[in-house]
Amino acid sequence: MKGEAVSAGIAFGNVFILEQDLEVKDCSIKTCDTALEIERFQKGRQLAAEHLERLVKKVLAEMGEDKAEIFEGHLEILTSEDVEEEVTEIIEKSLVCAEEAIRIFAETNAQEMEELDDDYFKERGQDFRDIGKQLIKGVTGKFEDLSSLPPDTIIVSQELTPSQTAAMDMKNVRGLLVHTGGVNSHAAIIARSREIPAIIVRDTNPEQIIRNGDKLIIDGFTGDFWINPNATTTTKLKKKQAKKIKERETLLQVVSLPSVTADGKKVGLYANVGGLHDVESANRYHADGIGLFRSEFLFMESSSSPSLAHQVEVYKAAVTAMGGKNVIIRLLDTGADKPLPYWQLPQEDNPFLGVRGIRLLFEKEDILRTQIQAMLIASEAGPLGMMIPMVASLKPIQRIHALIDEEKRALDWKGPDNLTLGVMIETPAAVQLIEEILEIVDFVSIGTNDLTQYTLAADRGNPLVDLYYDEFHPAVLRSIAHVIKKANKAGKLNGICGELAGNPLVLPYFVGLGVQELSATPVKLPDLKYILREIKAEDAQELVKEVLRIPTSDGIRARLNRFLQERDLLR
Amino acid sequence: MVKDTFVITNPTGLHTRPAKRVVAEAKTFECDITITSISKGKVANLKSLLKLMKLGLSQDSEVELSCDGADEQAALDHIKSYIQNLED
Repeated sequence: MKGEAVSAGIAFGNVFILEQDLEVKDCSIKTCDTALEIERFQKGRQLAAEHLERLVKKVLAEMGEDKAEIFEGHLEILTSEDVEEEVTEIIEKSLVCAEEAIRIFAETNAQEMEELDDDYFKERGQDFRDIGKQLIKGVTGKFEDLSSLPPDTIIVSQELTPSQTAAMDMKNVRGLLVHTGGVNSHAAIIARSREIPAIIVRDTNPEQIIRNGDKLIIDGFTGDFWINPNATTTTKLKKKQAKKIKERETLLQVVSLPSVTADGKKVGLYANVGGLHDVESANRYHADGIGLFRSEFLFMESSSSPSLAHQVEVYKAAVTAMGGKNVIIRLLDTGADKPLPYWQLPQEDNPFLGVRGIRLLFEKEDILRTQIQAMLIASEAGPLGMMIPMVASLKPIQRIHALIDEEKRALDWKGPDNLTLGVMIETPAAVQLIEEILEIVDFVSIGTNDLTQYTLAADRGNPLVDLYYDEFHPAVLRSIAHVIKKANKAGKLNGICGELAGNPLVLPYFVGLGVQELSATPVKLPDLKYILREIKAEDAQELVKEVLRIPTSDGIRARLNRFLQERDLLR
Repeated sequence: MVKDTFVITNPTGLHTRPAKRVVAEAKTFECDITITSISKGKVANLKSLLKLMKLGLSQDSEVELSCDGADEQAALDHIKSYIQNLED
C-alpha cells in the first residue's frame, strides 16, 4: 500500500494508534442509574490518580522538581473531597453519565479560574481541563501516555499536534504514519528534523486498516507501507535499509569539508533546529551556524510559558554549543493553527491571515519582553540573531528595536554587543519593502513556506490546494532573487530558511543569486554540501539569468533538473 | 469566632503549591476555617484546595481569616503566621 513519503528512511516497528481527544457525547441517565455512574466515577478516579502518580515520578526523574509540581497539584485536586462532592452532585442533579459530569465540572471550574484578573491564576484554568481529561480517561480506561512508549514504535494517527509531539517519547519512535497534512505539516517537519521516516496516507483512513500491535514497515523514500509483512518483504527492505545507510556514510565524509563551490565561493550551510536536541545534530553535520531556531517548541513543552531563567539556559546552551558561529533565534511564532495549551486564542476563520507571529506577541507583551531579555542575556555567550516573524510593515521592527533598548536599560546592560536583529521575509509586503527594511536590520532570512503560501494565496496546510502551493513558481523564485540582490547591495547578511533551502534541485539557483547562507534540517546538509562543492558559482550565475526568464514552474523545474543532470548530480 | 485581616506577601500568592501546603496545615485543626478575599468579597473554605485556588489570591491581596470552633485561637495564630512566612 502507498502513501506520500515526507521523511526519508525505512522503519520497522509495532503500531501504536494515537487516539484523538476524547469527545464526550451528552449522555443522560435515569435516576436509578446514578449509583452506578457514581461508582464508575470513583473507580475511574482511582485509576487516574495512580496514573498521575506514575507521571509525577517520571517527570521528577526526567525534567526535575519544577515540572513535577504541576502534576502534583493536579493529583492533589483530583483526589480531593471537593471533586468527589461536585461531580457526584452533578451526576445526581443533572442526571448525566460520569464522563459528562466530569466534563461539566472541569469546564465550570476552568471558566471560573479564567475570570480572575491575575494572569498566573487565569492559566490555571487549563489545569482544570487537564484534570478533567485525566478523570475521563480513568473512567473510560483509555490512557494515552505518550511519554513512555514501548521500544520500536510506529505512531499511527489522524494527525499529530505540536503539543503531542512535545510530550512524546521520541527515543522509542521509529516512524510516523499520519492521515492528514502535507509535506510541510508539523508532523512531517518534526519527522525530518528527528530523522524519523514518515509517510502520509490520505486516501484511506489508516485506523480502518491498521490495528494496535500490528507489525508495520514504512518506506519513507517511496511512501510504501506494509502491514504485517511477510519474510520476503522484510528481508528485501532490510537490504534496502542497509544500502541507504551505507550511502549516507559516504555522504557524511563530505560533511566535514568547507562549504564552498568548486570555484571557491563560500555559501554558509546552516541548520534549522527546534531545540537543543537538534543543535547536537547540527554540530554532527558540521553546520556553519543556526539559521532558524524555532523557539515555539520551548513554549509547547510545558503547561505554562517558560520562565526567563529556563529560556536563558536553553538559548545560552545553543549559542555555547555552536562555539562562536551565528545562532539565529526566531521570536515565538505561533497562531491559531499552532495553539499553546496555556494561551487561549480566539477562533479565526483564516489563522494564517490572522493574529500570528509578532502580531500575537504584541498582544502578550510580558511574554515578548521575557523572550527579548532572555536572548539579550544569552548573547553574552556569543553571537545571537533575534529574528522577527510575520512582518508586513516597518512598525513591528521599530517597536522591537525600542523594546530591546528598554530591556537593555532595565538590565543596565554592559555585556558584549553580540545581539543582532533581523526579519523573516515571508510576506509579499516585506519583499516590496525590502530596501527600507534593510536600513533598520542587521540581517534578513527568507521563510519560503510562508512566502509561497502568501504570494500564491494557497494555504500550505490544505491538501486540496497542494497543486497551487508551488515553491518553484516564478513569482516565488523572483521574489527571492529580489530580496537577495537588495541585501547583498546593502551589505547585509542574508539567508533562506524555509523548506526550499534544503532542496538540492534549487541549490544552484540560490548559489547563483549570491545568497550568503542556506538553512535546512541538519540531515539535509550532507546532500547540499556535496552538490555545492561540485558546482561552480560562475555557471550558477548563468543559470539564474535563464531561470528568471522562465514563466512557469514546470519550465523552471526542468531547467534546474538539467543543470544537475549535466553534472551527474541528480539523484 | 475569631478573625484577623492581613496581606498576602509571598511573590506567587496562594497558587497551587503554597496553597496545597496551607490546606494541609488547616486540616490539622478541628475548627471551621474560612478565608475571604476582601477585594472580591468572596469566601472559601481553607480546607479545600480547589476552592482556595478559585479565590485567586495573588501577592498583595488583602484577606480576612476566620476560625470558628474549639481550637479557633490556636488555628488563627498558626495559619496566619504560616501564610505570612511563605517564601515562594
